[in-house]
Amino acid sequence: MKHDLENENIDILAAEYVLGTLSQDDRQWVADRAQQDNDLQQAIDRWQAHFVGLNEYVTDERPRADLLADILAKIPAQSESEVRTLGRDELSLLRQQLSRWRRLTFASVAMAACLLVMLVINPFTSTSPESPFVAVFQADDQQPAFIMSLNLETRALTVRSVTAKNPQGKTYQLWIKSDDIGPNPRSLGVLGSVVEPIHKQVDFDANIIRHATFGISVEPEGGSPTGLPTGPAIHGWLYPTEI
Amino acid sequence: MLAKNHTTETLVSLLERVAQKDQAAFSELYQATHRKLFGIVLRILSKQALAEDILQEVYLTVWQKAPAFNSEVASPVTWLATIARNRAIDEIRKTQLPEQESDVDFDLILDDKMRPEEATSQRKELQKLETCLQGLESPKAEMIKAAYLNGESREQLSRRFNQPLGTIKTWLHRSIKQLQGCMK
Repeated sequence: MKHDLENENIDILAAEYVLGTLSQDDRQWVADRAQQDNDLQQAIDRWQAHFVGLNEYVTDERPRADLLADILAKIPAQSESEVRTLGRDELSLLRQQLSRWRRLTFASVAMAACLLVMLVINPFTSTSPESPFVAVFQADDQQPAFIMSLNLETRALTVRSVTAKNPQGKTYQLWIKSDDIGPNPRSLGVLGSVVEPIHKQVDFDANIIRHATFGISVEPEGGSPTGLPTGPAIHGWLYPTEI
Repeated sequence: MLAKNHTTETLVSLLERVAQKDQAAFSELYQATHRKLFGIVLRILSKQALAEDILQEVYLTVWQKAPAFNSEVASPVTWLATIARNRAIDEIRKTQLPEQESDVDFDLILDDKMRPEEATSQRKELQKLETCLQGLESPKAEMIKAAYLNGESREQLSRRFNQPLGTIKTWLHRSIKQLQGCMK
């Protein structure tokens, strides 16, 4: 179906994209089109250069002091994750090729056999994901509000809502508490919309994570204004999924 | 815009090293730019904790995309500010945060702490834009600044200026065409 912006002047599109006045759908449409339309991308580059001076009106602000440490801690983990993703992608590609080749002639079948050998010896296939740990968050005797799974090896966690709904005018925030990292809970970030599973990376040592208490609190939109939980919270502890 | 001792050239050099996965260069780049980028993100999102989460994502994007940085297409400042603004605006459109309560002070003076050569380049660009903005009928220059600096959508601009959505769209398109002619 033709998009509403299809016939829009390219400079208007580019300028509105850079200004930020478009809706989320229209922004995404322009960003996608710019990937294939060099004229549009160049127009966006021009408007970015035109408007960038306005940032001089923005006052410098200070984020929390340990933010760089958090970012640096995520870099190696992210690189590993890229490698794993690449591995999965390559594996998927090989499987697609294998499937296609199987439909071909006898000669191709021989090639498919070779590819199958490659799949078997491919190091990515020998990497089985670690059994995750899970934590259940529930209040009183009600159904669980959230379930969290965590891979201790990669320290990647996923929070999934079971019965929790997005609170009106509020947000959920995830916390970790362990005596090994101090007397107060430490934020693992806001959970945003809970309609979809939320993925986070935890930067603490695996041994600390394994024995920590996790909490999910209800906070004002954007997260706790104090850096500590301010609203009602429910808690969970990690359990291995293997019996 | 930048911490002292950094110029466009030193930032280009840092980004080239970051592209080679040099963490020391990445830390130096962060120290040189994070306050300004956080200012940009916080102004759009208003919430400290959310803005910090987004700033983390911005710098992780910088780490990943540094090999794609091309100093012939954009200055380091434009490239970094664009990543920060785009991520913040995507977030605010996605989460539909409430409008900012504080009015925008458009009469802020320029930052005098910049190094002279960087300041000259930035100011020249801004002065050219300001000259062109002054050619717009009131309050269209204010509308352009509210959109860029606060990440306000057409709907938010409609409420800010108490005008129908169609009028805001017309104002935006006419202003863009006029600026396009003026900025050449």
